[in-house]
Amino acid sequence: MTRILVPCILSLTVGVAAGWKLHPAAAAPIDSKLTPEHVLFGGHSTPVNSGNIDMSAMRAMIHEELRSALADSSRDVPSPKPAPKQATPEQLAQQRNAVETIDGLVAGGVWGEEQRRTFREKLVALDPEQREHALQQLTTGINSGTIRVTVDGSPL
Amino acid sequence: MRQLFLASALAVSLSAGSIVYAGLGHLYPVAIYGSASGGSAAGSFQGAHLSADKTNYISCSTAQFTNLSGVSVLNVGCTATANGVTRSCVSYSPSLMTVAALTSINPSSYVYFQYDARGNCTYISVTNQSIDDL
Repeated sequence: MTRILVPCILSLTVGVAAGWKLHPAAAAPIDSKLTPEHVLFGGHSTPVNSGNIDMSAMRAMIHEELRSALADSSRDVPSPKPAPKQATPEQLAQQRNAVETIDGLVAGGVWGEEQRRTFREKLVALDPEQREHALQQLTTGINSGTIRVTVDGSPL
Repeated sequence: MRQLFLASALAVSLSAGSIVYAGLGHLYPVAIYGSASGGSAAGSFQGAHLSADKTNYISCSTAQFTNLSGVSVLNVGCTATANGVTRSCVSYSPSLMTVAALTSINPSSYVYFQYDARGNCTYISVTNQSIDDL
């Protein structure tokens, strides 16, 4: 009986000692001077009413921390593409002229050297939508047969 | 002696006529499928050049220019003609791979493209080949 009792008491003693050592309170004794502000804000000096937390001060600090964090994250977001420059009155006039000229070329129904050269010259004046429309007019006209291609080489 | 010379000359000219040019691309003339509202066109450059149909033609081109707003624009387009019928298409935002493929076109190239009702290129393929099978 004694042979069984001795190892049991020994095991119990070792277990209790190990458990006490691993307990956080034992591993790192709490500094009794620590306040909630120390724990939350890393020990920055704050107006502390020990034993009674100043909630309005804490709210203000949390707001400030959140605001600075949001400001940091907004710096990581790429800025949106700058809006395309507004066309000047002169450019708008050139665009109108280019659209009218291309409409006339397409309506002419024949696509020779001169039409291709003029089309290419006017294409640079157009904005992206106008350019796409002009090229569609040409390709659909060629495909439907309303424009007869006489140019030697690519009509585009 | 003279008869022998003539026979030799004839033999040489006959053998010269049967020379096989290894590696020559197959001579696909340009063909067009579909209608104005959508279809495709295909053919090899050598095929178009040597076709009995004198309208037989195929081309692809790339164009880059700066518009008046200072914006760089890149377009590619293909055109094919067979038996007097022409089909054409344009791509307004080609990938660099498409541009690279089109600039690699050479006399042995075989081109295939598809177009839709609005004249958009919906498919462009360039094959550069050295054998007679595609």
